[in-house]
Amino acid sequence: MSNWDNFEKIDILLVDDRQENLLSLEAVLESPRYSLIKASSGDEALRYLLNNTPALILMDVQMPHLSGYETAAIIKGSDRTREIPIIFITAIGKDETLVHQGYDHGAVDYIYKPYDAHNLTAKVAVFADIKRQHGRVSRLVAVQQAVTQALADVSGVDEAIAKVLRSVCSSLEWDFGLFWRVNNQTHVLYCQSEWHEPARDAPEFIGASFKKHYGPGVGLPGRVWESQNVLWIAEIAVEKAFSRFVAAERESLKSVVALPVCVNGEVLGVIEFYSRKKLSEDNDLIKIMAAIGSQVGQVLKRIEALNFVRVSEARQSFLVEASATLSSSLNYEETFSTLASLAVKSLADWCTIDVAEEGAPPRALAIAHTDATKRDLTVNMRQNYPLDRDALIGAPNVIRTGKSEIYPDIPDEFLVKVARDQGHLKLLRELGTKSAMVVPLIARTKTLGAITLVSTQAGRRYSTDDLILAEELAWRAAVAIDNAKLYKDAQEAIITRDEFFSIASHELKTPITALKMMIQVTQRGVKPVESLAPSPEKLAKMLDTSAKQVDRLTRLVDDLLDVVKIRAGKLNFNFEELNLSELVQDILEQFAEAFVNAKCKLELNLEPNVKGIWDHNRIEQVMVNLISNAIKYAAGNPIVVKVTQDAEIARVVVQDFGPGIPHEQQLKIFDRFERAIVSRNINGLGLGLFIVKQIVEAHHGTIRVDSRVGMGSAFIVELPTKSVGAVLDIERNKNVPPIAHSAAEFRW
Amino acid sequence: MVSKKKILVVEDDVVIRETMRELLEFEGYAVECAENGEVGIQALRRNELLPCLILLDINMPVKDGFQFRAEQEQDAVLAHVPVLVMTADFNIQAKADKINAKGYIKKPFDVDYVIEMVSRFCL
Repeated sequence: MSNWDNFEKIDILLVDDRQENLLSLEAVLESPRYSLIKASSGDEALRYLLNNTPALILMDVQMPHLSGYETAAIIKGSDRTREIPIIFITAIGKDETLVHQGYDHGAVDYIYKPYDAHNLTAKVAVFADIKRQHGRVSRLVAVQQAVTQALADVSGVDEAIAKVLRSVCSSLEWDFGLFWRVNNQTHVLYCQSEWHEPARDAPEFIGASFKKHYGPGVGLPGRVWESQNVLWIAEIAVEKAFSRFVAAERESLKSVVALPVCVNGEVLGVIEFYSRKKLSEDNDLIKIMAAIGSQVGQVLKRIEALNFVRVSEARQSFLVEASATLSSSLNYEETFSTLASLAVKSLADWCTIDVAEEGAPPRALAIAHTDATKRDLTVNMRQNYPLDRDALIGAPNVIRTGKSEIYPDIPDEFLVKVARDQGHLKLLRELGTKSAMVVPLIARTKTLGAITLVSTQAGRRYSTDDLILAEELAWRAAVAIDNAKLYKDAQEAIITRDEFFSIASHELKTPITALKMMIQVTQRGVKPVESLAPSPEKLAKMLDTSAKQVDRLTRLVDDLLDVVKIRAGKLNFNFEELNLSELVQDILEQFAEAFVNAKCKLELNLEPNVKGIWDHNRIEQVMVNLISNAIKYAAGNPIVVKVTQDAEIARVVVQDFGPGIPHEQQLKIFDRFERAIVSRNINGLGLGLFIVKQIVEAHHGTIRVDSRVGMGSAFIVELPTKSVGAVLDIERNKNVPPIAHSAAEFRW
Repeated sequence: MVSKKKILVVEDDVVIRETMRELLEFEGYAVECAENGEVGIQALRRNELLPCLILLDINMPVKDGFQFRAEQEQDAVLAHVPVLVMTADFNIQAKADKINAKGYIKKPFDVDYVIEMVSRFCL
């Protein structure tokens, strides 16, 4: 029984001038399948036929006024009624010519009175069946016509599918339809759209379907995909394999037909139609469904082809616009937010840009969302659930590997799997993550960060084309970001250089001032006209002091040159065996007077013959620096100098009991001319400790400070006694300060 | 006996400080020296006879010129003693203005100029 048999009755018109004959016909033909209309004259029959088209007419030949034949002639004369079969009922014994006359008038059969009831019902059944078949065919044709019409002027896939689902549901009285789309990347079917009769929604089942995806051969959509055949399940209740069984039960769904949407043997998707009425398999309808499937397939292919052209044009102009927008600013941070808003405009509902951070999880520099309230949610989520640096998927992984990731379908199970806790899961669900791509920002082979693009619309699943576009955008953005970064670094380098010049000139002026004073004071004492001059002792002292100012100047200039060399990676070392104990002893002897002047008592703890392979002059520079610093800062307090050896490590400690160094400045003091210290409390370029650190590290050693405010400072240098000079140049380059890569552009 | 006019020199560089002492003493001033702001402010507070002028360096350890001047201005007794800033900094005028100094001597300077400036304040 096909699905419309349930509600369709066949109209049969009975025409006889005798009431008893009509009643007798009615009694014989009485059946729920027939609707019997009685007419007691040809006129009455014709009147009925003006507005109705019965499946069959049973008519008495001999009637007053208009005979049966005359009536038949009129019926056959009208286009609308010509096809209605007429069975004449006549008395037995009429001659053959009369019968022929009947056939001439369009009779299809004769029944002779008195008729056999069985014979009559059998004949009527035949014609009713013919009519029924005819009705089926015209309905099937109507469905197909409706679909053809629906597809006539569609321009988008979503529109086409919506129209097909609606026209099929409406004309065949199915409750709702689902469209499953094949994703070529992941090779799965996912539910892309639905249409339901307004009064026949099945939210639970449809909702469950949207969360599913099927591989080929899996589930009903998957089986249709694999077999490329229409499948009909008349009774979902007995179909144990039906994967959405529970949801279907809840929505009282009884039957489903699923058809492949395909073109040239390629399945693009699957359409399912559901009914809450139990509908038996109908082979004719299955054929029609197959035809509809391929019709839809062709239309989708055509739309895709058109879209491809349209999209590639749109993409091209988007990329051109993106490049222009991105390169319009040299502001590093601004470039990121521009990129995020570009991405949201065209590629995603939500976009996060993370930048790589050394030794830390990536940092979100820009977050954009099409929906402002959802943007707050994403920001909130990132604050409460920061990325895991070692995560195997997502931005951290993309930054680590430099390879893109694409998640065309993100089912709910995926969210459950990645969520850290219920709160996280709630946020993820609220944001409605459906599909995602993560692409790296790579400039000059370095991964600067990653762009995460998320689609929250059920209909938008990312494809390889989207990924290519995203990668292209990322590439252009990375170039812009790299330029902005270079510009930023250059600006910083200029500022640093300007500061350096400022400090350097200031510091150089101190010995120059002293020198100039000495000379001018001396000049004032020398009066040739009066033959007056300072005493030889005084003159000698002044000249000595002047010479020392020149030495100071020379040391400062040397320090400056060292910094320039360090920055250029050209600080040279001459490694040889050195007795550190003797060296420190010699230096302390040179400083003897300075200790006395500064009222510093020296406490020396010197282990003899601490030796290593080191650069004599550079290590001397380190020791001189540390000892003169101690004298400078801790005047009036004792100074402790220790030289010891521990296995293959030589250790020098220079400890003072001066004001100490605040904790926050302890790391900075090894930076190049740390201005906070230089400008306030320390004379000298502030280069000393920077140079010391570079030298110590070039020896594979370490330097650190142990200091507390008010308690003094201890500088601890550790040097391996078997330093390997050969690898130093390479190693040292690593220690060049971070802005070094742009330093080459600035010659000092 | 005519008491000499006194000048306080606050300068951390020992050579400049001692040469300044020699120069100004030669010119007939009594000179007191301090190697930083802290020592300078103590010297001011210790002596009954206030100097007619303070020659003040800016960049010094322990307590710099700014800190010295701030403490000086807070002390009603000391506040009126005029200050000449003595530094090699670029923006010396701005720094002099900032601490409300009477003027500045830019390093490196001519000693004649120092003598002339000093004489304006210590007649």
